[in-house]
Amino acid sequence: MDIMSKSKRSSKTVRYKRSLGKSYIDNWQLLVLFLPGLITLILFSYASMFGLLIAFKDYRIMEGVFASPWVGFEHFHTLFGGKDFPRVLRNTLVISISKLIVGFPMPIILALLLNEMRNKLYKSTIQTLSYLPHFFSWVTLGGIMLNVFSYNGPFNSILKMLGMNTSIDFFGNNAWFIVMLLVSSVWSGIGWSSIVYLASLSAVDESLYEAAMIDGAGRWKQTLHISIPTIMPTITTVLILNMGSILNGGFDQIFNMYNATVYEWSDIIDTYVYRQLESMDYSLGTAMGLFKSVVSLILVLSVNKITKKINDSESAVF
Amino acid sequence: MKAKKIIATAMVITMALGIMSSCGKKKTEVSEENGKMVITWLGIPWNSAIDPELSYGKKLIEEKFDVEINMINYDVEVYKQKKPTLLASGEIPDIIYEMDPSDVQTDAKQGFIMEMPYDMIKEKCPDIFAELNEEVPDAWLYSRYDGKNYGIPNIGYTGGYNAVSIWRTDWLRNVGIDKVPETIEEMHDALYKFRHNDPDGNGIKDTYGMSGDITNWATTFTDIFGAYGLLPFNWIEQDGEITYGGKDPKIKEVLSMLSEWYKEEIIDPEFITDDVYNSGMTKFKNGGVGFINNGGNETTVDTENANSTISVMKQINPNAEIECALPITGPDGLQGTFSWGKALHVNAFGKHLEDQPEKLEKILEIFEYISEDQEFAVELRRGKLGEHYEFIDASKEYFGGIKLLPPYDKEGDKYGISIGITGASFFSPITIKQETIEKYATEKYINFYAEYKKSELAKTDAFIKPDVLPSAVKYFESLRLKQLTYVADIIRGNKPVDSYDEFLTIWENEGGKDLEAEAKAMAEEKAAIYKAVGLE
Repeated sequence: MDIMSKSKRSSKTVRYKRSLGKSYIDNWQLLVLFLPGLITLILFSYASMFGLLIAFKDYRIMEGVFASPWVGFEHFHTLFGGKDFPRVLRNTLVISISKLIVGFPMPIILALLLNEMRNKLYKSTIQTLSYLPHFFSWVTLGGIMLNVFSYNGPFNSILKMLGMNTSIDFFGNNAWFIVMLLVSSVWSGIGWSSIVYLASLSAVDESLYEAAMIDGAGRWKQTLHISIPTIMPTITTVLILNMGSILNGGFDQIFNMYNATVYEWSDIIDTYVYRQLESMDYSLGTAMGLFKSVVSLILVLSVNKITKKINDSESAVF
Repeated sequence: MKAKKIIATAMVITMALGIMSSCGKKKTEVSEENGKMVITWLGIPWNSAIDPELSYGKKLIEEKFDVEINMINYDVEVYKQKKPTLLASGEIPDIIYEMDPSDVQTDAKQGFIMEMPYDMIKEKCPDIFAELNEEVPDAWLYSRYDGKNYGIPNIGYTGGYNAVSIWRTDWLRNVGIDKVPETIEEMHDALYKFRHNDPDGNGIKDTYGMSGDITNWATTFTDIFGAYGLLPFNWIEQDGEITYGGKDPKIKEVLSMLSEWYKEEIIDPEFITDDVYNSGMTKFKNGGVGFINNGGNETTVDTENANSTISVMKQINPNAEIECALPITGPDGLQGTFSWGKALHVNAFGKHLEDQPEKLEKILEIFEYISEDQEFAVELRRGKLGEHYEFIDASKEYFGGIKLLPPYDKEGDKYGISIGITGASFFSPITIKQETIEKYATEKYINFYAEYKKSELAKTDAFIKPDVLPSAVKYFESLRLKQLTYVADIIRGNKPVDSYDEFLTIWENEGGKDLEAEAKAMAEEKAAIYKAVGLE
């Protein structure tokens, strides 16, 4: 049996190989169409990789990458050697992990809720409104947050009307400031991130729901036993990809919202490097990028491996 | 069918080629085009609205000197990001407007800009050279890198004055004060009443005395520190020694007073996020606070000007009345605010000009001409009398002010035509000189400067820009942020006043010592520059 299937497979492979070469010739138009994408990928994703060299060099533009002098790990020393580095690393992890914990389930919940809606117009209105903030820059969003949640602002006025005695200093208190970061990142990202889940929800076979209804399952049970399991692969994939950006605390967001009083807990790797970055100091920036990429790669690979173990390689990315 | 296929293939191939070729494209050296010399000018970021096709100043220079100017206009918001990209692409402009000393240092280090010896400036541009030496010799520090000079600094004559405060005079009257406060005690009294005596008479305790601004060290309570003779974020000269102003023991005294004020609810808790130019000013205009230290200028109280502070405030509250004031006076009679000083920016020259002496000579010739012929310099900004603008009151001439003629009144930005002539001039590094500004100034402007703008109340850094030091980027930014955190926390009562000593320890341990050593070296460098340019 084994031998048979093996020989069968190998003969198949040979045939396939032969036809592969022929199919290239037969479908040359498709290959030509594919070419621009391939070239772009090679140019921007692979050819640019040798630029990583400048993380170890004192890069001077006029001299070029190769002629610039080597400096070894000097830029990494600058990056990690500073007294502030442990603090900014801590802040980055605290902020991005709490963003993941709070922000990750939100779009899934929104997608499930939207999926249950009957009224098409209402649904699409909600959808549009929910991903509108995604298209605004953080300068605008940060400004709105600062206004709404300021010490004498509308939100505090409402709290006072409800009987609170003192205003909450949302932007002058480290803990509240992180809450503000979470609230604003959920607000800005919830709609946009829910699109992918909505897409995979729309692919669920209607007959599953019908069968469940005949079996007497209510809305909640249908969601629990049909909707969530069917979008589970999507959820895992998105989670794995999100792990890759764990060292990105969100520069634009924090930079537009923070002030000196909350700097202790809101200074992240990006803001820290931004302060040290002279214009055209590409080497230090590259060193930071390389460090982040390495950490991201390790995280993505390990989460992927864990997923493979648990899920029997069904929803792992690779 | 076949034709379609061929067209499709051709399109794909062109696209692919396009992508490949755009990467290997090399820009041709700009030199001679239709017989004229082309000067590429990476101009002043505030010029970005000017349309090169319409620019009047460009046309004027092109006709006068028989050259062609290739204007590269970046908006001030994106200037710092776009400039490196432009330079990195190898397309180095002939003239580069450098915003900060650190930009000059970077570009010199990277080899983008050429050395500009003092002797060459002295020889080719004697008027500019003399003006810089006379008005603001410290500006030479901006263009210095590694013991050499890398450009021609320019002068911002309006920068050498104090910031002007504004008071709500109707509020003052409502709480029973009939004169604008001048001393710290009077100020405290007025501000206290602004908070507690309902100055706007609406029956709700919704007003504060003042807000603040910790978003930028340059505006952080600068008038109040100034009243005690302090510059907490700058290099100062004390007994012939250069030292950091933030180490002065008197700072704790001021912080303790400010934290007292905060406790008395005089200072709006939102001071941590306000900034005097935007949200702080809006708050003042909306009647949230009754005092702001900044933003007072010759149009502030001008009711005829629809965009002036008072006109905007009258729209919100018809009873609003305001008055400008000099910075507040401290217990020892001191007063003043931080000022960026008269040194503005630097005009640097592309390295390739070393091999094109005739072009360099031409540029310097134009610069010198604009500096000498100030009428021409004014025309570059305002255009011609009768063609671009006319007098509001013909009998008073410039004294009564001018107004732009259509279409320049609405679209002046596109043509580069404006009423204002202060700030960086068009093309030339030397801005329009003080005596020329005064010659063309309106009565309002002259009176305002006489009363509220005093050069002796402008407190400047020993090096004008504190970040001129080589390690400033590495240490200074972070140290200042920590200092601001202590300042804000102490004022808000989150930390005791004595915790400011912790900052001094941080300063010692986290690079402050290196900065101080560099500051000492910089002071010596300054002496060397003075000698090199022929000053003692």
